[in-house]
Amino acid sequence: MIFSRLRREYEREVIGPGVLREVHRASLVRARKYPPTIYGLSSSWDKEAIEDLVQDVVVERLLGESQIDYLFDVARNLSDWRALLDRQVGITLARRRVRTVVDNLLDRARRALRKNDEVVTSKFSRRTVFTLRRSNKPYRPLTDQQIRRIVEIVRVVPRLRPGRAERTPSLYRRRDFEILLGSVLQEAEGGITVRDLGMIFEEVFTDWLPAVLELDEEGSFGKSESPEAVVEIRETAKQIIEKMTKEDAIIFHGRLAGLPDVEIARLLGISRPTFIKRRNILFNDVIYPLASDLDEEGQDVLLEQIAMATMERRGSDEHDFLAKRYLVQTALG
Amino acid sequence: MSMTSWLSDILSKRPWVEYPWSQPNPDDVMPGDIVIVGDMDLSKPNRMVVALDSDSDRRCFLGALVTNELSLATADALILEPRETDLPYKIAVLGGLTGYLWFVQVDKRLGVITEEVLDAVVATYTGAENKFQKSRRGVPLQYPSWDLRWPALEQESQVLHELARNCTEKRRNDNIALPYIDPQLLVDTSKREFLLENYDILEDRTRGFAPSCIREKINTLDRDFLRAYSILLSPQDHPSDLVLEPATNENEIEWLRRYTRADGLQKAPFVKIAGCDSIKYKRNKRAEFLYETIGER
Repeated sequence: MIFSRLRREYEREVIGPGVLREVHRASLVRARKYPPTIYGLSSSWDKEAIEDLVQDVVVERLLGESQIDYLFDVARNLSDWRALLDRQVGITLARRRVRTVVDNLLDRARRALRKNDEVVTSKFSRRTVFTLRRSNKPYRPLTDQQIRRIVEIVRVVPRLRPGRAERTPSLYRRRDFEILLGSVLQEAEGGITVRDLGMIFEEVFTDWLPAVLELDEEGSFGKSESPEAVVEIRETAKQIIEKMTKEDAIIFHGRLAGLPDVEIARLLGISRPTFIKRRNILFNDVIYPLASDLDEEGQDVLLEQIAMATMERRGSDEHDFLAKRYLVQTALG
Repeated sequence: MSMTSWLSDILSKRPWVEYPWSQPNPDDVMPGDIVIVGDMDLSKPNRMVVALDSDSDRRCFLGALVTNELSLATADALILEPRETDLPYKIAVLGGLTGYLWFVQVDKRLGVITEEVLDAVVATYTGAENKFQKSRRGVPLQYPSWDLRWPALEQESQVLHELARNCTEKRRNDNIALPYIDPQLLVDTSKREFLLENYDILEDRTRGFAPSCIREKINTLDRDFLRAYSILLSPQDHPSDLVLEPATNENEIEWLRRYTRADGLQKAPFVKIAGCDSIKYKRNKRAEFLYETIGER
């Protein structure tokens, strides 16, 4: 296929036989690298599964998100164009993976929330709403701003490594998942629906989209740790947490969530230079002396442990106060 | 339903796509233009960029990388809707990935953003606060071991770095400041923490782009540090009144390389320090660097 001919076809009919043939070829090549049960929604990459994929690429990506225009806007030759198309096929497959993972997490969340005595259910427009028993706020569907805020909080919850052929990986330890759900409920005072949670998890797994296929190909995913080491690290984390003030916890959490310094400073109601000083004291005087003997992997685990402990502490009055301050600051822009 | 029939059905409902600002090989590039750029010898893939600033005398501009993969948008990015760009698809402008490009590298202009959006795009680059940017930013980037987007971002950084190499080299040879810190200053361990704090302050609100912001703070900052800090001014604004020449001798570059932590930067001759993570920094005796690379030796 000559690129100029492909372009003429695009200009004439957007997607014609030539583009469709290319999508089919790219889907065939890409799909066969991955387990069909996870990515193909089928037991094998048979004709039907491939055609389903082709249809998804065309409907969702090329036309639904106008990526066909992007491809022809950016590519200058057939090789570039094919690379961009391959990326579109990859994203379609990655989205399938994320959807499966999110669906699984939602099932798990639904079960966990129903079992939790602290959580009550009600109905909002035929949807089940999960609310903390002590909450007296009415349910409102979460706004984009609230979702973003919640995502920034729960993204620090460590995720487990899924196996390559694992269709429904666990992804979160039981205790961590409970803390995650608790944090979500605490932030969404009027409660949440499964739909709200789905939006949150999709954002939390944003970083999977550009990477999950490669990681599945490599067969390695995330970090590993020995249980003995974790016990020791947990003890170190406990010592660090005891020394941390409530402001330290906010600084630490913000850093781990990747928030810009200026935002964390604003949340604490301090200037940025003051924030930098406090951050340095926290890391240099509190965390580093106890973390210096650990290797890099151990330090990562330590960060996870402190992160989870600080999330648990979010339920205290002080943290409620800081969370409210955050909302006020955000509302003020 | 056969494959062609479902396709015909969807295509029949698709609105006609127009590019009101489209122009092949434009003579000039203005701030706010969304353009496709390539390299001189056509050997590398094209990329889309937004022009943040333009220097019509030197025929070059400062561009921020644009991606169609919205998942790559981080806290210093801006996700734009088609109505804000006159493009048919959403884009993410990655304000952390910028480079100098020649006008002749522009293949075509595709769209133009409004001044309000340009302000927000510039804020992603300068680190200034902007309400619009904040409402449209992506998911913040976490530590490399926690966030799977790093390899993809580093790869994009490398592509832009290659595209920007020639123009950046020329700017450096012409003694125009580049946004990197003099490594020699960091060698002095007694001053390192202090310098990094100063650097953080500069990076926070100004990130070198808005000279007026830097001038406001200039009296509060360490003079030695400022002399070595290569302030990135507007391309038309010669920085000689504020900074000395950037240090570029081989040893210092090698030193800087050794101190580069992000894997994707191992081959980068210049890197930009994003901040310092004490836990890693102390243990490894090195600072953490941003994935952004600018310039080439």
